[in-house]
Amino acid sequence: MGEEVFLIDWILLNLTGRYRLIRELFSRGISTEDIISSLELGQEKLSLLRKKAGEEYKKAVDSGIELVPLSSDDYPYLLREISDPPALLYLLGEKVWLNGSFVSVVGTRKPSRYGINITKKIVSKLVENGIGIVSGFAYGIDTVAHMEALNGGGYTIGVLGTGVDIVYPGVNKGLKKEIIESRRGCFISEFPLGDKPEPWHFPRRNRIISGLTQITVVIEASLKSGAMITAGYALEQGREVFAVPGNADSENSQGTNQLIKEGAKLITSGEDILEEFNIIPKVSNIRPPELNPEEAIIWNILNEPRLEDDIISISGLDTGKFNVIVTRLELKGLIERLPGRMLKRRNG
Amino acid sequence: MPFNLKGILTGMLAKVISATLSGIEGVPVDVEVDISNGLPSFTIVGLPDQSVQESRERIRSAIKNSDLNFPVKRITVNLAPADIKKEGPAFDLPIAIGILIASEALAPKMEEPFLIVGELSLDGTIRPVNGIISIAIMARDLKIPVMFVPYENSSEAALIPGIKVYGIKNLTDLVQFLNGTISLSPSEPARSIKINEFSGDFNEVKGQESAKRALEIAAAGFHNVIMVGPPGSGKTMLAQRLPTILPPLTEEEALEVTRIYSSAGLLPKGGGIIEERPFRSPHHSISLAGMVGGTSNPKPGEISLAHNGVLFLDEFPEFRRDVLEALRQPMEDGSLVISRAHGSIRFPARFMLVASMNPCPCGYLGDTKKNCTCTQYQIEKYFSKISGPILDRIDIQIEVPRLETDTLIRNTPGEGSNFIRDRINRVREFQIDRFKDGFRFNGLMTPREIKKYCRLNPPVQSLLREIIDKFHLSARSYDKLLKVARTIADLNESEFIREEDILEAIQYRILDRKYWEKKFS
Repeated sequence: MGEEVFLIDWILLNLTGRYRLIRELFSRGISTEDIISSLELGQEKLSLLRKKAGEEYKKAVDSGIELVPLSSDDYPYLLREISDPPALLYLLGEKVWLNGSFVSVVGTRKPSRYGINITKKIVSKLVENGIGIVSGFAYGIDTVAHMEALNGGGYTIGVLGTGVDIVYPGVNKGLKKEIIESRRGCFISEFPLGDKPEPWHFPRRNRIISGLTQITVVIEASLKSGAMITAGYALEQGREVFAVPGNADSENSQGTNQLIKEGAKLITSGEDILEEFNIIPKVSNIRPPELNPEEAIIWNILNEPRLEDDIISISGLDTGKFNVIVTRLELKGLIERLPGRMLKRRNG
Repeated sequence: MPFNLKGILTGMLAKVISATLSGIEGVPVDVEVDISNGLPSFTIVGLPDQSVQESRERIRSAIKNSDLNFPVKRITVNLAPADIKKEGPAFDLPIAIGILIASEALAPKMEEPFLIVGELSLDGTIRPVNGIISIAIMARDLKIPVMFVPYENSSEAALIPGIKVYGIKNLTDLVQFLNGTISLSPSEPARSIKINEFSGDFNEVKGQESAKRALEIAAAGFHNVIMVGPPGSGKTMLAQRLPTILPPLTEEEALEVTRIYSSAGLLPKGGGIIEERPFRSPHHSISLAGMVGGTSNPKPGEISLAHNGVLFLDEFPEFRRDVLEALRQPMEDGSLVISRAHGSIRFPARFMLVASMNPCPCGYLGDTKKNCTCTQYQIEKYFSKISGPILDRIDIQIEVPRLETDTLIRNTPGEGSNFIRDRINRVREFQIDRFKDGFRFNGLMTPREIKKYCRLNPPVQSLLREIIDKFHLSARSYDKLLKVARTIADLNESEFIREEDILEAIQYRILDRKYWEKKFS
């Protein structure tokens, strides 16, 4: 019962949204009740908030959502260091941030093929070396990052701009379920349950993305984009910003190139990030084992992503035979298919 | 149905055999004419529609203008059986002959029963009518040995062996022939005619090797196909050439096709037999009736016109939902039944569906040059327009990317249609052997037949299981994969489905594959 009252108090504090003051008072060791009273909310407002907080608590318990108050030992310690940490985190899934280091990966909602490929490459290298991925669970780079982390057997945290019980964007419903069921990931949010994706939510949640990690990697971002806002927060919070360069004339890379100009570390691979953690990257086996001569032909032609028709004409194989070999290589997990009948080596 | 084959009665009453169409089937109709004394009048009874009522005026003028006497008496015409709706002008000629017999201006010398159809113009010339081949088939089945038909239809009717068909140019000729004053010779069977506006060859398609191979497999096993690709990638070009590699129509199939086109009134002037596989490509704005056939007196729709051939639906998701859903039953049964107040009519509709669509609403998802501007939600919505049950009936799903110019230039021309067709013909023979029936193909196998003919030996079985796991295939796609693998094995002249056949088949099931469903996976 004491626990319940305690959590309801923290929900109440979270609902006031006065994070800076709350953090300040809390860090001085002031008790929860005293923090509430020092906020001087007024009797009427206080009882209204208390009632709402009680309902919130019940909803969370009913739907299996965990509540992590600022005072909890489990509260992500890097996040507690920022100037305005949420007073309370709603959590769906496992507290994976307790399991090791994380890096934030953010980028545009409309990535180019280059952006998608580089995200996969960087993320898979990171998770291969035991580093988890934090991102915003939006379309585009965010989705690729979460997916690749999950597929690579790593940890991943989605920071949502809605209540954690809301699926947004709707098309990621399956991915959300997969992440929860894998028990290797979670979703957190400062917003009350059932909160809809309001436009002003997203810039705010970006400070949590950067706040959760020491390093934020910006993959592809135009000048005015959420990823740039996240990078801005990271700098404010005294964290590091890494950026992946792109073509000077590509809209999607204007933001990242700008960051590099301003002094962000230029990275081109996962290894560049691992350096910061003093991790010597595991060497992935570049030369795949046991290729029969025909498979080797196609593997060798695929030193860069190529159109099927080109591979067929270069290799001189007949189309039926070619398709057989492609399936074999796919089964071995060596190559993958891209939309537009393109083939590429995996992580290559 | 009481039906007097003798056809002719004496005195003031006459009976002539004629026929009408119900769907694409011929139905016999007795034309009875009674002439009696009384106030001059001319009545037609027996459920005639407007066009039959109007034939009174044509008949009166045609008889007068042929230098014959139109009786100034009380004329009653009955079209029996009275419960079938009669429409169209094909009764003009039999009614006119009936009147001439009843008024004793004509006494046929012919011993055998005969059947008459034809439209009259005012000067007594006889004009062609629709569906003559169906009527000829009916006549053969009812053992009516002689038919008098419009001259322009006669070679079409003569396609049916066992009946003597006389092509008649005008009323006078028929009267004189029946009276025995002139003689006519029976018509010769029609020559073959073309219906497809387009004919090309596969060697004109540069690149797109996988798509060409997939279409070869589709043609060999009569599998339905969906092609996904951006605008201008050559989907239409590929589809149009499909009829050139399909096995030629058998005699019976050719008759079926001709019959459908004849009853739809789509045979070119002069008629003839259709010996090429039809290729139909209706626009996506087509109505339900236009697609499956319909209106109160049902006419064959596009799916029947594509019978034994290819139905190409470009921009597949843009078709109206109800139109697409209506394809489901015919795709299963090979025919369509339209029920009307006066009974139901069956239209044959065994077609190979070739659908094409863009990968996303803007068309450029996966394109190497242009960026796609669609949101994931728009893409999902676009794909969701094709329902699962429809997709379930499409065995082969391929992607047709837009090729860059240097790829197009580098590629040498592909194989000609003739070579491909040779291979396909061989596969067809295997299939005839397998199913003991010329109309059956691998693509039309039932689940029971799949069990029987697509048995896998244990190593192949375990490979298939691995594939299903790896590529997250649904239980649904399992059967499709087996059917396609069966055809590939046939093309490779293998009795059993081997590993390679399965491995290749998986490449023709792109919509099952995860990389396609999620833009970023």
